This record gives sequence, structure tokens and C-alpha cells, in this order.
Amino acid sequence: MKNKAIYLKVTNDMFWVQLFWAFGVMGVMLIIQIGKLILGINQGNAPDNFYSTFFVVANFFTFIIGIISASFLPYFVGNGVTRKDYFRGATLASIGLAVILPIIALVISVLTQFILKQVASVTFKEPNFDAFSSDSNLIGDIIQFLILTPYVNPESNLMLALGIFSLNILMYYLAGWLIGVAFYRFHTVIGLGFILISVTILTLENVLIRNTLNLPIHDNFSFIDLPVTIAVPVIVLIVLLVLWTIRSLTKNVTIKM
Amino acid sequence: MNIKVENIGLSYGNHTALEDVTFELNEKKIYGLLGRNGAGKTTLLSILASFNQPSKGSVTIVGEDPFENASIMQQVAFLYDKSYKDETSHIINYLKDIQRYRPNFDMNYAEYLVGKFRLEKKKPIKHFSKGMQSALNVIIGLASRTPVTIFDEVYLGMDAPSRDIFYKELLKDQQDHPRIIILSTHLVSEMDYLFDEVILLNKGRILLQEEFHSLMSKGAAITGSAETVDDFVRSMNQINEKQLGSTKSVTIYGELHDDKKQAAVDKGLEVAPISLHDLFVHLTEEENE
Repeated sequence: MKNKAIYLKVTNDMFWVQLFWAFGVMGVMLIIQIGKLILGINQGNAPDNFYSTFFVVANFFTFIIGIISASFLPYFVGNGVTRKDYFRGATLASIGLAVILPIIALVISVLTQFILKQVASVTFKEPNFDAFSSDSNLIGDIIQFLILTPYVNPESNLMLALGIFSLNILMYYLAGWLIGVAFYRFHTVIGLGFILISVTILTLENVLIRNTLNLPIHDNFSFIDLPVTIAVPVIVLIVLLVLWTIRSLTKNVTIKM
Repeated sequence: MNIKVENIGLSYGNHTALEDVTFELNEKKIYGLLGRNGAGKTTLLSILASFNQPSKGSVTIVGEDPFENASIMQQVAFLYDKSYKDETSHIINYLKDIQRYRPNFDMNYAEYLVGKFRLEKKKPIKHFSKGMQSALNVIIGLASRTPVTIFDEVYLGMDAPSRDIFYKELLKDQQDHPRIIILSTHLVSEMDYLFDEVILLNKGRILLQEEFHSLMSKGAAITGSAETVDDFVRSMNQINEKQLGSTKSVTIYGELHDDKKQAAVDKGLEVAPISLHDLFVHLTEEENE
């Protein structure tokens, strides 16, 4: 009973701190959006809606807070929390964030569109996350591919859109967390190795989700073509494998002083 | 509460930080852990706090392995020279966060100590001076009231009045809420009166563990006229001497029986207890030779 209470406290603490950071990012984005909108109206360009802009930013954001979440480990162990409770608490917090952030983004998006439509006749641009511009540069292609995670328009299928958004940012969070704990546990060289592993995992996950959703896949990765019945379990397996690796790396880790 | 350390060892690559360390702490009192730089004090304490695991031997706290043991880890607080350079919280909020994880935490006492150490409540912790950050560690350690509280060189950067507040509050709170307190320190002469028991660690090994008073009877400082003192201590193990004019003081190591003491007094010599500082320097020096 005591144990359960402790990891839920960790979840609560990490969830709110990170959500607070997310609000900070969203606030800045909203200010930029408003600025762009004012200019956009003047220039006659259709603005992006908040949801689709945050869709791209959220990947970077969750990746970074994932890296930072490794630094919560010494804080919690220093306060008498086990590594296991930290792991369970942080995992639940990451899932909580992955679920709540798309919903918040959607609500802000709908609200801003509603308000704007009252004051001016603005039409929002439909995002196109499927148009790849390959320049035969593999690294560039991978980066572009990583930025453009699988997107489903919430107007076509709301639950699926939010679910895919959540899955994307959860993967970015976990990839960041994996890198964070690898750098905490090992020296720089192995840490860099884990960056490579994380990028590979994110790319694979991206391809598999696109496979499942029948979204276009970049030529470089078209050789990975799994049927949905296999792709979905593999996606879940990858998430679990990353979590297992994070737990293994932190299970007995020495707390640095 | 009981801490049992049996034959633990810890090596990093070729470096042996701890070797065959065995001791037991059974009573709610203040233990002074002394040792020179690199003696392995922090390594030993970090193992008790589950920051680290020994590569050999075993540690048990109330009969259980503390590592990854939620109910034990909750009862052990380890305060050390920690950097708060990235901590943007204000002190009261920071203490409230810690309170969530320490069942015995006394927030009123913590706030009283914040006032006592004159820490600024409206300043982010990262802007605290070194001494103020150390005072924060002291506050966390005292107010958490964990059954095992470890202070590892926690006074670093604190000015003399702040250290004095620390010592006074430590003794007072220990009286009201007894627990196992381990103080690791270099400031032997300043802090010796705090210790009920002393553990001396040297080169990763336990040199001695003894009650403070019985340890103090292990030696004496003999003061008087230089000639008489020299004559008296000739056959004894002398570890330190000071001379001012014709007056000389020699510190001897080894128990001084009552008849010997009386003989010294009869010769007009003054017999004072040995200082822990002298003993510490002597014992760790001897090991080096």
C-alpha cells in the first residue's frame, strides 16, 4: 500500500511539473501564432491551426522533457524513493502527458479558430504532413521523416487522430528518456550510441504507424512493409522494449553525487 | 533501529574505495565518522543511503537489505554537499515537496529553521550562497526526522554562527526526537563534543569504533615543567608535543591508569583528556607510515 502511494506521488509530481512546462511552450506558441495571424491576415495567407502546429512542436518538446526526466532520478532517490517507484511514476506521468497534451492542443485550436472566425473571416490551412521532398540526402530525409510523424486529421477521425498524436509524442518522450538515462549511466560514447538507437526506433515506429494507417512512406523505408496484424503488435512491442531498457539501465544505477 | 554492515567492499576499476568494512550501529545516538580525504567515508555513507551498492559483503537496516527497499529508503536521509545550481524553486515550496516523501517531516520545525538560518524565502534556491545551500541541507536533514539521518560534510561553506546553530539544533532535536545520526566530518576539534560514538575510517578500512568517552581515556595530555614532563612520559607512546617557555605539554597514546595519574599529579603535572583531533591525526598518520 505504501509503495503504491509513493509511485503515484512521483507520477503526480512529474506530471504537473512537465505539464506546467508544456503550458509554457503552448503559451509562447500562441503568442507567435497570434503574431503570425496578424501578419498573415495582412498578407492574405491562410494560417496553420494551433493543433497542427503543436503536432510538430510536441515531438521536440516531449523528446526534450524525456531527456530531462532522467534528471528526476537522483532527486527522488535522494528523497528515499526507490528506482522502481521512480520508473513506475515517471512512466505513468509520461503516458498521462501523452494523452492530455493532444486534447489540450485540440481544445486551444478549436477555441482560437472559433474566436477568430467571430472577428474576421479566416480560413485555416489544412496541414500536409505527407509531402516529402527527398533530396537524396539520407540524414536529411531521416530528419524530415522524424519531424513529420504520422498525422491523422481530427476532423476525419477524432479518436484515431488523438490516439496517433499521443502515440507519437509518447515515443518521442521515451526516446528522450532512454537517451537521458543512458548518458546518466554511461560515458558519452555509449550515450551517443543510444542517440543512434533512439533515432532508429523512432524511424521504425514512424514507418510502422504509417504502414498501419496506409499513409505514404518515404522511398528509403518502403522496404519495411508489414501487414497491420503484425505492425500493430510490433509497435506495442517497441514501446515495451524501450520501457524495459530504461528500467534495466536504472534498476541498479549508482546515484551521482 | 539497527544498521549492520558486514565485510563490505567496493572497488571502482583498480581503485578500492572500501575494504572489508564491518560495524554495527544499534542505538539512537550521534555517531561521528572520521577519516582523511579519500578514506571512503562518502562511499560508505552512499551505500547506507542506497545511492550505491557494495561489490562485496552485506548491509542490513532493521534486518533488511536497504537497496531498493521502499520502506527502508524512506527512513534514511542522506545529506551531502549537493549543488542546487539548477533549482529554481523557493525554499518553502522545495521543503513542501520533500515533505511528501518523508513521513516524519515537521514543516513547522523546518520553517523555524529557515528563520533561524535567515534563509530568504523569496529567492530561488539556485541563487543561495554556498553556506545557505548547506543550511538548506541541514534543514532537510533535521526536519525530515528520519530514523537514520546522515550528514556528510554538510557544513561546507557555512559561517561559524551558522555552524553553531546547526550543532545546537542537532543536539536539541536529537534530545527531543532521538534517532541514529551519522556525522561525517573533517572539523574534528569543532564537532567532537557532538559525538556519542566515533568510527574511524582509514584507507577504506575501519580503524576503530568506540564510545567517545572511552576513546578519550585512551590517551592524555600531560602538562607541566618541561623536565618533569619529559621524565614522566619517557616510556610512553608520545604522539604530540607543544612547548611554551619552560612549560611543556605532551600528548600520550595509551591508557593512563589511576596510579599513574596520581603519580603525575603528585609530581605537580596536569593531566587533561586527549583531544579527538590529536588522536585522529595520530591514528591516521600511524597507518600511513
